Amino acid sequence: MCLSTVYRGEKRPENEVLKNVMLIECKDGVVTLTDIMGREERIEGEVASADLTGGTVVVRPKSA
Amino acid sequence: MDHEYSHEYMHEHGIPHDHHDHHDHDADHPHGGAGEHAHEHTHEHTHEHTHADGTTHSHPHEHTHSHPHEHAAQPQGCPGAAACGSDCSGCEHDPRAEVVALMQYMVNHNTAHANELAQLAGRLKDLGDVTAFEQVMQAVSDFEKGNMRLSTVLAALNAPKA
Repeated sequence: MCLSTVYRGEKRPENEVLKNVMLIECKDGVVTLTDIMGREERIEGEVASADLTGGTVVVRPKSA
Repeated sequence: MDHEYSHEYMHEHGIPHDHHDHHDHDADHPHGGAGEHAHEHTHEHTHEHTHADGTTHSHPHEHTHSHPHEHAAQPQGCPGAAACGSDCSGCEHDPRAEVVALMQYMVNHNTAHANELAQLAGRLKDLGDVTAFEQVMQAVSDFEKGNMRLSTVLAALNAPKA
């Protein structure tokens, strides 16, 4: 229900991908993030964890 | 567009009431922002409660609160692809619009939380704790008043500048 901050790989400030994310869609190995302003980020990988009370999502990028 | 808005509204917490609103409805919602936005409504609740002396009665409370509606994103002040090129993704160049959108989100979010708290109050009542029910409902009323204040600030932020 709350907006989330999405991190790549691990929850660290330097790994932040997008703040105020209101929509996460996972399809065909791609995680698409949309923030409250409609900005989109796409990451190849999968959602590793989602802390819904902490508003934190970690996306694990697809291994090379 | 100006229209009258009136219907019986049942909150998730199950307290039926009417509310009425008469407001200007601008098809080009000036606030923009993705998702929902709130309209203010005044409505009347009737709460039945039991006093310590065992007297049970109900009396109406009038609340003014916001009511979210879905709209497509149309960020305020964003020049869009015409100015930013086809890769424009929104309002990266308009921090004010982002703050307003976040404010809008918070107002709607608070409205949802107020409803959830009212549902919790109802559960306390069902469990026989009428005092806690009344206290939580009072807190919900206070919470709605605070959110109404935020909503007023938001309306001012969205108002066209002279």
